[in-house]
Amino acid sequence: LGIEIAKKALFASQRAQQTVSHNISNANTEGYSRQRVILESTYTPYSFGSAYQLGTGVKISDINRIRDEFTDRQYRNENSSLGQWNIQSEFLKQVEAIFNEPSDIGISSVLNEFWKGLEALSKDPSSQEARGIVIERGTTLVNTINNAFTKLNDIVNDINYRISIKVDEINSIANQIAQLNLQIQQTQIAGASAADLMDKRDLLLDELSKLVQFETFEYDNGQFTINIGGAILVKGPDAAAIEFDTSVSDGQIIWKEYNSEVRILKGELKGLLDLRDDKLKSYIQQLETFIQTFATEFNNIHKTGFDLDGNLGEDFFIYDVDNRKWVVNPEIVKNPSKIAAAKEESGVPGDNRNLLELSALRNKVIEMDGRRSTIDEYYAFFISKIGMDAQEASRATEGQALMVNQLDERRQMTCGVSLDEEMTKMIQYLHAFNAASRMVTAVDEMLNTIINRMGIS
Amino acid sequence: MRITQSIITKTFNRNLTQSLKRLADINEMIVGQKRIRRPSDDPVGTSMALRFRRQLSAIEQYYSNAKDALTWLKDTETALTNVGDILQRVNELTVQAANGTLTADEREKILYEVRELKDQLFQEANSTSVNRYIFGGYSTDKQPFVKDESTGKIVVNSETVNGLFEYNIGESERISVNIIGSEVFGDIFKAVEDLEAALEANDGEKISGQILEDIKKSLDIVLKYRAQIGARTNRLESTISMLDADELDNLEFLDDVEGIDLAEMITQLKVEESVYRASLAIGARIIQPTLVDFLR
Repeated sequence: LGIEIAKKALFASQRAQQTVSHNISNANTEGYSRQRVILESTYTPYSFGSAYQLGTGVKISDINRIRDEFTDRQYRNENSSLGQWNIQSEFLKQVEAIFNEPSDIGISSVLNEFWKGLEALSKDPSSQEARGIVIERGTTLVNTINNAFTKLNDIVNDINYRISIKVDEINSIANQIAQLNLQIQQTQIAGASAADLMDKRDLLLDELSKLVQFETFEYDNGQFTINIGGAILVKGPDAAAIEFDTSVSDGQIIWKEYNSEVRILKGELKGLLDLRDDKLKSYIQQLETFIQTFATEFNNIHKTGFDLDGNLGEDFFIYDVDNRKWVVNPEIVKNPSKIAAAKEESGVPGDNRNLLELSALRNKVIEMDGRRSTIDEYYAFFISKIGMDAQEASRATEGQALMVNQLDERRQMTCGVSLDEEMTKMIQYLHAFNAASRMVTAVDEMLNTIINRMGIS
Repeated sequence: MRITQSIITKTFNRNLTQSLKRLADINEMIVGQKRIRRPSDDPVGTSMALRFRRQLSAIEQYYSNAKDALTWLKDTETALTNVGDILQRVNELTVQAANGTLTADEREKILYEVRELKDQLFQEANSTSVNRYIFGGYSTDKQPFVKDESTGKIVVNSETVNGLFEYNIGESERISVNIIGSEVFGDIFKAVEDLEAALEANDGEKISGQILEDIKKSLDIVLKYRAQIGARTNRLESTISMLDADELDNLEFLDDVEGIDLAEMITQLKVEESVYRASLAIGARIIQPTLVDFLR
């Protein structure tokens, strides 16, 4: 009987060593949680007539993984926020780059140059050269603005593209998790430990948490469920698919099966949707207000003046509906004399009063979007709004990253592999193994004594 | 608290990256000589920087406007000075011609000189500044005074339109640049032409009376306009020095908002550099020996 107990001890120590080895091997594996062998003493219910219960050695009752599920939940929740802010910050940096303010090439600078061109012309309204400069600078101004519109729309398209990719990622992760659920269930039914499979599932959940906020439940029967916005994404071995509905502009994310909108609370997807439907929409609208107001006010004054040929002025800035961009009236570009500098027909060519009025527009307070300000101030306010949004996003990203890192550290404290600890365990199990071996030898000697030495000599 | 090797390396990595990022940020600021590289660096500062830039560009323009107005006024002043000199000579001749003892012959000689002087006046009245007629009102492209070939008299060009034009020399400050030619020269030409007629008629009495008085009045007119131009010039000059000061102020404001303090930045750079070096040095030790190293 003793040799049997020693054999069990040898096996148990060996298995324990295996786990130590497994832990050390995966010390740097992403998402790995350290495993622990649970040893249990065995005994026999038969007392063989004695009053004692006889121990029969050791066995491995389970191999656990050590994991802090509460911190996992916290980590994923904060990771969703991190994903949301991070992606916003990334895109807002692009928006800032479009406007390139403050610099010598941004809209504010070309607008300044345009005003200067007007002033220069007001000094000599008869100069064709000065007229040419006004037209050229006006063209640069509208081109710069058109360019900003194009790039803002490019960003919107890029956001939509990114949404569709993220939706694919979510579906892929959901499918992988559903598959893992099946494997885990099967392994557990067979009575084995599914620690490594669960690690894989947790890693996927971490990834998913960056994309979208979700909740997980594990039922008593081992059924693992993921909910997004109250609806089921994964239930045991089944995954529901979501879809990016591009049939409408500002497409939303819907459940493929029910054709209803997915309620998205946090995460990169939420960040992208907010950017598109809230921030960028308002930027485009404000830039439109800016150029629209400027062009209208400018045209209104321009049309009250007279050009070099004594004709009433035409619109100076025109919105080209076909090409969806702003241009300087092509008639004026063709014939710079058509800039209406004079206030009276008879005042041509020295009368510069209409130009002075146009210049005064620069200091005129106009109501735009419920704010009373000059054209220049409106633009400066617009730029600082973008700056504030970008600053908020980048600060929140920093703070959130710190939080996520701390939570990750806390997780690592529990589930990370400590080489020192494993080494200690290795020595511990080594000694146990040695002792058990020694036990075999001792029993061997005992048997030797009984079999070979007794009753013969 | 349970610390593992991976926590130490992760934390180390994160801190090292942050330190390097700060180093890169400071570097970028020093190289670009700007504290605000994008609006999010300082949203409020950005809108202030935009305002100062706008003001600077406006000041630059007002400055150039004022300079150009000054050029125009200087040209006007030159023309009026010349007109004054000519009229002074006309005055002398008038006094001479008023002398009752003068013969018709002598008066005729004076007449020739007066005609010469009238031509000079005619030229001055049609002076230009950068190819534009100074005294033509809005009609800078048309000669303001023409000679009536049949009578030889100088008349105002009927095609010209009188009008004062102004330049912007401040946000809500304008200055009239030109003066109206017909107001200046109308009476002057009339007086000179009356003198011409009286000389032709050898009418010494009229010359010594009415005409002498008219010529004196003409001189006064020139003086009056010269004083006006002088006052405008003074105003422009003080505006220019004010704009100069404004420009300096705004440059300073702008620099305060978006510029960097080089000394401070370089000190900061040095600090970050040493932090980074220290981090690296720690990194060399952070891959701590584990129990493995001590087991044989």
